[in-house]
Amino acid sequence: MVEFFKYLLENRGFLLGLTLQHLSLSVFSVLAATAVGVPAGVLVARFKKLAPIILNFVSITYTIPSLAMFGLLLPIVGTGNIPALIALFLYSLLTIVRNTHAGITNVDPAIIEAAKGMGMTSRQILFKIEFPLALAVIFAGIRTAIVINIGITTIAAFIGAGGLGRLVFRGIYTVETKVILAGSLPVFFLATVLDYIGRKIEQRFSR
Amino acid sequence: MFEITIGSLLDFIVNNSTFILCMIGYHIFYSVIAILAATVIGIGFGVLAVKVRKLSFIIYIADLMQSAPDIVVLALMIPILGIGAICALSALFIKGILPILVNTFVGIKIINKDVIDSARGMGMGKLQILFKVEFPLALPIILAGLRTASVIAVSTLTLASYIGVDGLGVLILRGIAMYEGNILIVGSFLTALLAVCTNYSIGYLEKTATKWKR
Repeated sequence: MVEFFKYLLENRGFLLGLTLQHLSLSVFSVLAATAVGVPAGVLVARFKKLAPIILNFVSITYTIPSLAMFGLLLPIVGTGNIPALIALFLYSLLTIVRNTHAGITNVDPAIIEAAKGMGMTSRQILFKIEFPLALAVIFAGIRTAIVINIGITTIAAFIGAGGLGRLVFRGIYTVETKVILAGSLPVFFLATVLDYIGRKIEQRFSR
Repeated sequence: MFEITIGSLLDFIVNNSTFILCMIGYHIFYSVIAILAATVIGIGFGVLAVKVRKLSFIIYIADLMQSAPDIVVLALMIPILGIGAICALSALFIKGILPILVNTFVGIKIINKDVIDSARGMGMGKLQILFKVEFPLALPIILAGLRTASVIAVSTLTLASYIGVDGLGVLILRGIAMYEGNILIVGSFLTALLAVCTNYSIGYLEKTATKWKR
């Protein structure tokens, strides 16, 4: 126990660097997925015919185990942060697309009728009514995606990405419990804390 | 790594078919054991948590723990149980029981009180209500939890190959270690296929179980 805290203290710079790498990988991929996923979700909500194709593709991508996804990406893009970012991007897509779709389709039709009655165009309805009302659900998707990505980023360390996963694998490989804990516990806390903060922010949105 | 052609992939599959089938077998075997245990205990405790008010806090904790990354649960089991199958099965069990537990609880909780009242009015005892009314009504949600748990099991077991557990992950890790694209692609593709098939097959079960709703 004491050894563990000593290890943390001695390597706090290294740990901080890894944590920042970890966060960057998770957050940037989610930002990219939001940029693509939210418009995709809107498209799916607008054009019902596209729904099966896009939702199925995104669902299947999400089901693929992370190590398998990395395995498929390695021959194409090599090792390092790039396959990690691509895989993290693909994994966040499902959550964000599905939540955007759900958020927009669950807007009360009566409100949309009223807006049409007031003479709003489709685009105005989208930006002034549907988005603000769906924002809480969309943000829930973003929050979930970030939390899931934090977990997957840990695995990405195995194929050369940065992040706390490096400590986890190093700990397993060298049979050092304190190193495993030094890698896993921050990941666990990151995931839990970001989840909690995300939920608090969501509550602000749904007022 | 880039010397991959359809020919080389087929070569690898044909030359190592026994090995590949063995690994698929191990993978399915371990996943099934863990999920079976998780289902039995998860549904049991879920029902308990609904019936006994004081135990509801388990669900709250379980919900919070669901966001724990797979690899972290696995890594935290290693100092306690060492490496190998036992550790992996425990991690699979823990990760798998959470969705089943939460979904059983939620599934039974949201049943309309009137339905339970009318069942009681018909003279059904508590056990009868549980098995004839509550379970069938909660089944779709419980099956959804089972589906989530199974996919998580397949996914986490791939990681467990790093600590010596037989399964499709062995192909992936070996492919990376030997820098051999063929083994890597075959391993990754089969793992992805297994996960997608598990998802769809239990999804199909879900749909047939809810046929009575339509």
